[in-house]
Amino acid sequence: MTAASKKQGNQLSEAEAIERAKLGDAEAFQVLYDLHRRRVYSLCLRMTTNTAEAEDLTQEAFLQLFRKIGTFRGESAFSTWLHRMAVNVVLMRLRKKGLQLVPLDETNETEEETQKKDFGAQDAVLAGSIDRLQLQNAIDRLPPGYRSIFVLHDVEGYEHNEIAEIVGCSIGNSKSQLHKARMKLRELLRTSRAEKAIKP
Amino acid sequence: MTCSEFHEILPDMLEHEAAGRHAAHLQSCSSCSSLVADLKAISEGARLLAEADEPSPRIWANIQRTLEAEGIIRAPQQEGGILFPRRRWSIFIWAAPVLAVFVLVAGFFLRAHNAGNISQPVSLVAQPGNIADNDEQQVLAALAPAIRANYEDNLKSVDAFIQDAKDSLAQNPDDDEARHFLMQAYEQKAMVYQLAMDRSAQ
Repeated sequence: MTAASKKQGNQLSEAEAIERAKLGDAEAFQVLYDLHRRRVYSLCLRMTTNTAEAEDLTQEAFLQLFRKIGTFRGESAFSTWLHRMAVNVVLMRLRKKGLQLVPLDETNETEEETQKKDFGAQDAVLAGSIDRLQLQNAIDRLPPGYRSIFVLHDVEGYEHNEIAEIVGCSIGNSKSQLHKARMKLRELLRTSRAEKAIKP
Repeated sequence: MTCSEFHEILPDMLEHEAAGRHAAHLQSCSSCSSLVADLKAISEGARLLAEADEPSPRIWANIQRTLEAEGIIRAPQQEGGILFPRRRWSIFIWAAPVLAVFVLVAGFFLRAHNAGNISQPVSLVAQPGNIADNDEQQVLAALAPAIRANYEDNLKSVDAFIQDAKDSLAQNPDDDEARHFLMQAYEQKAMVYQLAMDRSAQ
């Protein structure tokens, strides 16, 4: 049982809220929204890097969920179902905006070049000193395709086979893009740190 | 192993956390070992980012308004209506003693009238549609109008509780509270019925 599905105090449990929401109970909808709003909003925010758009997508994801809640039969966890729906809503929006979701060459930099750059970089080791804000800023600066796969895998915990299915790419492509995204993040974090060090 | 070769196997190594097999290279190459440490730190830091933010309260207000406009959220109904069986039975724990009081009051009422109307003739009259049983209809017909109205009210209340408990059990057969409540409601109905039987027989 997930933390979200446990009953807290007099609050409905997730399972009870689902059954009651199927019958149109207003309180049950709010319980489900309260249990999952942060995770859905965070996902939308990471993938779009825009608070207004993230809120809009959060609203859209929950509306889709509530419209279809009568079809939820419990084959998968409710949170998985909701999350998948939210991811699809976000990806649909990104596609409409014409953003490439399967990055092939977004950085205009070959892997070899990245590696060469890395070999020479002995300074500014990041390990153990990455703070939340720095990392968030770096993720926001990733190209959309890298960002989608990095967020889905490293932040949200999806497996490569799931990402391949959701995004519409091969498993190998997902693995390759994830690695490139991490490398790009490392570069962005180190650059950011170096810039900070120069400033008085 | 060269750094270039190490970089080729790095994604798989991180995926399967198989650094042990390449420990020799990592021990001898500070560049590659710091790269591995950084990538792991990035990945671990990313996990902590989930659920860090909160949407504005107006988002729920918008969702609620839309759901209401689409008829997906239904307005709350009176107790005993559609919403009743969906409630947790624990909050209706008061209902059992209330039903018992119903029975006692009904009994007292029946007996009080019994004392003054012993010779009242028995007559058959039309009965409410929700009372289907023929015996029950005869019992009702034998009661004086004032007593019968009181009896019918009590019976309707007990029947409503029984129906709610039945509906709840149909939706969730494992709901022990609802099952217990249903049994109690049936017992109360039997008592109400018995009192009416006693009265009509006199």
